[in-house]
Amino acid sequence: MGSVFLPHLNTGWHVDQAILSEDDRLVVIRFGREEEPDCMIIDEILFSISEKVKNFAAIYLCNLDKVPDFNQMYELDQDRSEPYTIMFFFRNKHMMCDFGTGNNNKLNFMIYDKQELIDIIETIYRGAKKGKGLVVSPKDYSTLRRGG
Amino acid sequence: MSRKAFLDQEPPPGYIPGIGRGAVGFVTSVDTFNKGLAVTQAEEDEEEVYDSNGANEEGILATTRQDADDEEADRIYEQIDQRLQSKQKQEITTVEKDNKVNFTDLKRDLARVSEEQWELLPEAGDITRRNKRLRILEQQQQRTYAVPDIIIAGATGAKTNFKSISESRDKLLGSSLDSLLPTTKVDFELENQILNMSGAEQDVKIADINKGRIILTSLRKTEPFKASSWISSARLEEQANNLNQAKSFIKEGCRKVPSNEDIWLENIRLHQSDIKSCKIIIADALGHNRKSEKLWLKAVELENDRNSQKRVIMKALQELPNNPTLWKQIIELEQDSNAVTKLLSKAVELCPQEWDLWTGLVNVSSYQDAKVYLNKARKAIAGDLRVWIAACKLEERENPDIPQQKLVKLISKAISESKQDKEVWFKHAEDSETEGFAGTCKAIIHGYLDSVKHSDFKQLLNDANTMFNSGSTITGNSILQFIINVHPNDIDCWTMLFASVKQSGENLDTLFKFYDRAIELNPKVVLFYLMYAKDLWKLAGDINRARKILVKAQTSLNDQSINLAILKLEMQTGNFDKAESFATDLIEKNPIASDKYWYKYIHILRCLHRDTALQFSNKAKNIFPTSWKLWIQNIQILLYDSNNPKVAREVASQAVKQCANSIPVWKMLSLIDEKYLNVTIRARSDLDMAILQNPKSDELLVAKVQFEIRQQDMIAARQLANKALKLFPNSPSVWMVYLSLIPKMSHRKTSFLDAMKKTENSPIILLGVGVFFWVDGNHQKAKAWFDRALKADRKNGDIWGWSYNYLQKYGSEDEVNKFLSQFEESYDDINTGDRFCSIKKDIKNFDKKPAEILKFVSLCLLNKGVGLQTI
Repeated sequence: MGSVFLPHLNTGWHVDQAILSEDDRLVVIRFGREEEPDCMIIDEILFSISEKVKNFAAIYLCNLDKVPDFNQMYELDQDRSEPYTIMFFFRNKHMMCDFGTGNNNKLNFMIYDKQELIDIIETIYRGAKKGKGLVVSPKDYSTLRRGG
Repeated sequence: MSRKAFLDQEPPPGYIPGIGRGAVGFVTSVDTFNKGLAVTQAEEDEEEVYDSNGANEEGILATTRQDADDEEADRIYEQIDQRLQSKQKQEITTVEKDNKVNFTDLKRDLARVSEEQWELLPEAGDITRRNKRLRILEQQQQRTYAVPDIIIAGATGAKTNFKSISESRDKLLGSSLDSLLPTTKVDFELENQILNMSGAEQDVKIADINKGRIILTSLRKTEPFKASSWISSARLEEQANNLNQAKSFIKEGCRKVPSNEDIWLENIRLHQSDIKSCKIIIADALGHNRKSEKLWLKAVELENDRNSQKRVIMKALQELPNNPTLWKQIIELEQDSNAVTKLLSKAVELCPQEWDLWTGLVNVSSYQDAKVYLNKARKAIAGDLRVWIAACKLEERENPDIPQQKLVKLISKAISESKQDKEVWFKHAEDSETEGFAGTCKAIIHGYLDSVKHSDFKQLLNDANTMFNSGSTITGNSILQFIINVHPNDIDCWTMLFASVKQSGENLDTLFKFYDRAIELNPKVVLFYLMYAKDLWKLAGDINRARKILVKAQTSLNDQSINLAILKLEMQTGNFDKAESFATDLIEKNPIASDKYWYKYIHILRCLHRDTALQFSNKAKNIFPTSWKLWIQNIQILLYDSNNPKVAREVASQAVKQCANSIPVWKMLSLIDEKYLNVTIRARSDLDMAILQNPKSDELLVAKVQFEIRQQDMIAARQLANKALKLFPNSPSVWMVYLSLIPKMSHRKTSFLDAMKKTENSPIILLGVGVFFWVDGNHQKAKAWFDRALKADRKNGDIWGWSYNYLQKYGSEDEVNKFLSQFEESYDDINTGDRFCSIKKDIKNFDKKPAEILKFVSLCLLNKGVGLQTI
């Protein structure tokens, strides 16, 4: 249960501040509900990699029940089959990533491998540093999506 | 990662999330309509809902009013939009124009940038340290290590236990971490580890000596009144060659925990080199611990002359009067026998439970006193069998001619008092024997075995055997004696007993004594006489005694096997005349008793070249017309002795009529036709007739195949062999003849496996495989197969013959001699092997020694075996 040590964002203002507070790092925000098992799993993974990616990414957690403000804007909590949503921001810019799933705006599928997640974050960071708004994920998750 | 300040702040009132930082939503491919600003979108949605509701409620009128309003609003919005758009366009176009003007030349240059150059554009700073990481990874992969010799050496023999090393290190580190935490828990594991480490772990320990110091310091601080931490500190320092520090630690420890004897002992150990200071320390220690046995013993050890040692023990005994160790020591030191007696009597008074003291006392006192003491001891330590055994020994020592019953009585009392295992009793019996108390030894065995009513004589025989092996003859004998007493008429028991006595390597007199006893108890059992005579003859070489035994048996029992045994004995020892007269006697007395007498008698006559052989043979076969052996003998006499094949043939044809089921007779008939009269057609028909009458005989089929081979008709032979194999898939002889018909060695090899599987590794097949290899020139391999065959069947003379062949060619003289002696040893049991039997029974060889027969056999095998047809 190390994920409790990750910073939680309790209001919409906190979310905005988190996105604005970083100048040189990627901001990774997980929107979801901690009481759901899938969400718990990803939280643990995020916590376990947080130390490794701390040089180029900051990870935050946000409970959708506490902060419904972005549901509309970011299409959160619309699809019941979505376990959680991870979104990436760099200097107040929403970073997109082509996972091959059809939705480039967010990461909303289960991922169990820590290294894969690190790779995704790093790829997005690299793209962001070069000024790109959309990067291609190191791995294609389309089959995964369809299978699962 | 430092915690951002905003996380702990309150949001400002009225803040609208998202808008505050100018965020916009996005469009997914799923729903493509533009959402615009998040908040605006939400308001529009609300309006639409309101609209539809209103329309439903207020009807057409309302709609029109609304439409007018809407139209106006729409118009205004449209105007605004248009204005905005035109403004935006203007801006964009101006900016674009500027850019175009400013960078046109540079942009043209970009056309010249090649694809590779694009690729080579540098990354922005290695902030994730990816490059460095990759470099390090690469370096690590390229690194190689030289394997230390110790690992290579360890791979062959004792293994270095890396796991234990790393485990212990982990434990040590883990516990050092624990000890740094402010807990009062003393880590016993760690202590023990430091104290008990040895060998390879020692290295780790030395490496971690500094860590150990830290841990022990904290231990000493947390529990200053615990001796073990002081002792281990001192030991650690001692190990690090820091003797002064060690001494100061232990001194402090002694001051802190003076009541602990271990810490004092450790102190003395550290001062070992200096006896004087040792004495001071021990005096100090004893001052604190007056009741410590260990410290007193140490004090005694530190004294070097006998008197002062005694003095110290005396002092010690004042403190600890009930300590048997101290008593024993002082008795050991005392030289005057009177004083010893006195000391012992005092000692047993104070320590009545100590048996050693009692034995000492009994041993030094006179018979009468000893008796008294033993009684006392019995009361003091009730249920100890040693008291009774000692009493037994005492009785035996004082009255050497005491009746055995009395000793047994004593022992049975002991047995009733204390229940002990068989091993314990046997051990005591053995001990008594080595001490020279044979009576006691016997008494223990009998008493014990009587009490448990042991009926498993096999187990007892084993026990007796082990006794003999360890040299305890009397004990072993007593066990056997007991077995005989319990099972005087059990033949199985007797035979096993004989076997075990023979095996145990005891001298033969014991064995013969048992034989005498067996015959005495069972005068009607023929087997004992036979075994006795055989062992006398073979093991002791005492032919006269053997003969006497047999004659005695014959007069009392008149059994057939005894008569035959007498004949055999006489024949094999060379007394042919005696044998003849004995056989004549037998036949004249009772001519219809057994065909075997006749057979033997005629055999003797043939061996001695008497002319009467044929006459007697004819007579015999008239008396026993169904005995095929007599028929064959008759035919053999006619064939070999008097060279009369025609008459032999006639007799043979009569014989097959009388004994239609006797295969040898049929074979004989066919052989006469083939070999002596050269009528092959008749020979073949003889065999066919035989097979017709005896369809179950594989032997006849084999004979037929061999016959065809001799006639050079290989095709017929092969066909016959195949047929035979189908009829008798498990017959080794059929397999052999089948294998011999396979022309190529390489083809045969595949069939060997089948043959062995079908015949379940029959020794004949094993031998056959060996012979094939021999013929093939692979003599070493052949030898391996011969050995295998010989191991499987020691009764087959042919196998012996082949092995002898090999040894003659390749073995050293020693090996040949050893082989011959082995052969002679088992000569009597060898009764199979076609070639061997025919040579052994040949009357020409009746007086040959076993070794000579073996030579004949091996030669014959070599000559014939190459053809393989005769196997």
